[in-house]
Amino acid sequence: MAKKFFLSVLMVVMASVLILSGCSNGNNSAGGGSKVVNVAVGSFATSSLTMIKDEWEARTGATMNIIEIPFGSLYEKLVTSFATGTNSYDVVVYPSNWLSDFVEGNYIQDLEPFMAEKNNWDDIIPAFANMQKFDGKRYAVPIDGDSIIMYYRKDALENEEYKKQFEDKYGYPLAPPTTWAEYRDVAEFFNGWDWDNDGQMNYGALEALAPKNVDGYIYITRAASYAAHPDAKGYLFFDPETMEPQVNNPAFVKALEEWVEIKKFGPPNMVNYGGGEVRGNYVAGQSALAIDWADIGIMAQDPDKSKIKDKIGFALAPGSKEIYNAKTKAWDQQDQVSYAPYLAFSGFTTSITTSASNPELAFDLINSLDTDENALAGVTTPGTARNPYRGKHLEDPAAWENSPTNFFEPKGYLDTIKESYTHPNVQIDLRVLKAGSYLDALGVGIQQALAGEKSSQDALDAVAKEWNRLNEEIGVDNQKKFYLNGYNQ
Amino acid sequence: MKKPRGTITKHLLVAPALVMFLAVTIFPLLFTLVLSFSNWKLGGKMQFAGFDNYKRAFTDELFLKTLLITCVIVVVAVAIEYVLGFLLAMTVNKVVRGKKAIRILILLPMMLAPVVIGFMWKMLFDESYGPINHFLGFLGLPTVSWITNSTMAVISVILVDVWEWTPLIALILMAGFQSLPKEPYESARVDGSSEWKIFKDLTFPMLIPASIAAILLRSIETFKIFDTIFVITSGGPGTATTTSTIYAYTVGLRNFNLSYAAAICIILLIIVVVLCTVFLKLVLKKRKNIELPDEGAVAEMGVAAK
Repeated sequence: MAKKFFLSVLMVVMASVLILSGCSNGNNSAGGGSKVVNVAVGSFATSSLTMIKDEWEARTGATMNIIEIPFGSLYEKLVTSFATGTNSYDVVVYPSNWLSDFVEGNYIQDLEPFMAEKNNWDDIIPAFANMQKFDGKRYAVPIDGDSIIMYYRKDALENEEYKKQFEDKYGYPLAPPTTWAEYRDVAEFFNGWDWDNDGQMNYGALEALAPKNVDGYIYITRAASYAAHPDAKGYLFFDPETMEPQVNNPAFVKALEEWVEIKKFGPPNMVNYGGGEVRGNYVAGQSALAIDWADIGIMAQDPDKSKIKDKIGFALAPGSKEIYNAKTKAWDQQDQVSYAPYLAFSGFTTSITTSASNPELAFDLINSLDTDENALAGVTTPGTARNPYRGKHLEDPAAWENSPTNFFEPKGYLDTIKESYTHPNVQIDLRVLKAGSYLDALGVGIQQALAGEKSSQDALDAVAKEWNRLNEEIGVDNQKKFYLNGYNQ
Repeated sequence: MKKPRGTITKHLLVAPALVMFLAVTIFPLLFTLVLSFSNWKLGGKMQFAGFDNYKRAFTDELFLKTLLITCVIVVVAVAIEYVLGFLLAMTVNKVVRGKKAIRILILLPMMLAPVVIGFMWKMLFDESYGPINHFLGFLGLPTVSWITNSTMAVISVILVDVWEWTPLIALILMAGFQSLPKEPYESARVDGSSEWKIFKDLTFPMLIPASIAAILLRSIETFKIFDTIFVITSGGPGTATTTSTIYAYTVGLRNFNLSYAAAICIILLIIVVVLCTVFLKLVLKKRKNIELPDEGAVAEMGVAAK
C-alpha cells in the first residue's frame, strides 16, 4: 500500500514537472500571441535589430524581444526549438543557406501572402532574391549579401621599385593578380620582409585557414575558379544528374594543392587564422593580399583599427585560364581569364516561423529591416555583419562616403562587389539539406591536407566518400531536388 | 498489514531527491543509450538502428584517431601532472612559513575559466606576436611552431592541461601528506633509514590512496577535455588535436547526427569505466605486494586514507 502511495506521489511530482515545463513553453510562445515578436538572431547580427527597435516599437506599439544567440550555437538552438515544438521564436535571422533545412522541416512560412505590401523586392540583387525561394515561393527576406573578393595593398603593388623587382624575378609586370598563379607569385614576392617600412615584418597573403571556421568557404572560392565551367552550370558541387560529388575532381585537387602551398606565404601561424584574425591583421597592415568577404572593406575604414584606409584596393577573387569541365571530364584552356565569384555563406536572411502567433506583425518587422533606408543604413554601418545586397547599395558612392563608415573612395569597392554579384559565372553556395554537414566533412579533409596528414587527392576522396554517405542517409532524390532548386530559380 | 506512518513520511521526504536523481542522472544516461541504438534526427521519428552507430564508430578512421589522440593526451598529461604535483606537494609540505599563501597561489590556474585559459595560451603561443616566441628570440633561440605543427600542437595542449591541473593533484597530495602519521618516520630515522628509503618504503606507499584518487579524477576529466583545446587549436592543425569529445561535439551539435554522437559518448563512457577499473585493480594489487617495514604504520595509513 505504502509502495503504491509512494509511486503515486512520484507520478504526481513528475506530471507536475511536465505540466510546469509545458506552461513555461506556452509563455514563451510568440509572446502570448499578442504584440510581442520574439526574434532569434546570431550574436554578431544583432545590431541591425537594435538600430530599428525604438522606431519600430513606437510605430507599431509592439515589443521586439531580441534573443541573441552565439553564432556557433545558432543552428542548433533554432533546430532544437523548431523540432521540439517549444516555439520560442516568431522571427529568425539566419544564414540563407539553411533555408533548405527550414523549408523541408516546415519550420518557416511561405511569405507570398505578405509580399503584396513589399514594394522594393525587385531591387534585391537577383542572386540573393532567388536564394529566398523554394519551388518559386519566397520564404525569406534577405538583409545581407555575401561574396568573397580579393583585397590588395595599392602602396605595395603600385610601388615603382617593387614593380621593377617583381618583373625581373617573375618575367611579367606586377599588377593586382587576376589568376591564382599570379596571386601565388605576388604573395611569394611580398612575403617575409618589411615592404611598407613600418619596422614590422610583412607577409604575402592572408586567408582564413583555421579549422572549424570559414576555411571551407575560402577554399571553395579558389576551387570554383577551376571547377565552375561556364558550360557546366550546376556542376560545382555535384553532378546534377546523379548527385555524384565533384569535390575530388581534378579541379578541386589542384585548388587544394595550391591552397596548401599558400600557407608558406602568410604569417607562420596562418593555419590558426579564422575570419576574424584575417580581417584584424589585414587592416593592421600585415599583408599585401587577402581573400575575404566584403567585411575587410568596411573594417579598413575604421581609423581605430586600420592603417590602410587609403591604401586598400579591391578586385574579384582570382580566376583561371584553365578550367575543368565536369561534364566532359577534361581541362579546357581559355585565352581570357575565367572568373567564378562565389556567394559564400549566402548572406543573413529573415523568416517567419510557422509557429508565429502574429505573422503580420512579424512580417512588418522583417520588412522594416529591409526598407530602402534601413537596409542602406545597415550595410553602411560598421559592426552590423551586413554587406550590400540591393542594387541601390552599389550605385551611390556618396551614400558610403557620408555614412557612419565614412568610406574613402568607395567606388572601387562597390564596383567589385557589383561585378562579383552579377557576374555571368557567379556561383551560389551549396544549398542542400544539412549543407553544414557537407561543409564540415570538407573542413576535415582540407585540414588534413593542410597539416600534411593526407595528400590532397586522398583527403578529397575521403570527403567525396562522406558526401556520398550523407547523400544516401538524407536521400539522393531529396538532395537532388534541393540542389537543383538552387540553380533553377 | 499496514506499515507505520513514519515509513511513508520517510519515503515522501526522500522522493524529491530521488526524482531529481532520476531526472538529472539516470534519465539522460538512459536516453543517450537509447539514442545510440537509433537513427534519430531532430524533427523526425526515432527509428531503431541496432548496432549500426557502433559499427560505424569502429570503422570510422577519424573517430579511432581521435581516441588515440585522447589517450595520448590523458596518459602523458596526467603522468606529468602527477609527478609535478607530487614534487610540489612534497616541497610545500616542507615549507614552514607561508603555506597558506603558497596554496592559494598554486590554486590560481585551476580557478580560471577554461575558455579564459584557452584564449590566454592561444595568445602566448602566437608565433608572430606571442611573448613565448618573443622571449625565445630574445635569448637567441629558434622560435617554435607551438600550435601550427601537428606534434607541437599536441605537446602544447598537454602543456596547458599540465599548467591548469597540476595544482589539483598537488592539493590532493598535500592533504595526503598532512594526514601521514609521524611515528613510522620517527622509527625509520631512529633505525638510520636514508631519506630515499623513507620516501620509497613509507611516504610513497602511504600516499597511494590519495594518488589513486588524484590520478583517477584527472584521468576522467582529461578524457573529457574540450574547451581549452577548442579555443586554442579548434582540433587542428588538421586533426592533430581533435579529441573524441570535440569529435562527438562536431558530429552531434554541428552535424546534428545525434544518434551517432550518442554512440560515441557511450563508447567513451565504457572506455573510461573499463580503464579506471583496470587501473584501480592493478594499483591495489601492487599496493598489496609492497612490503612495509612497519605494520602499525600501514594500519595507520589505512585510517588516514579513510
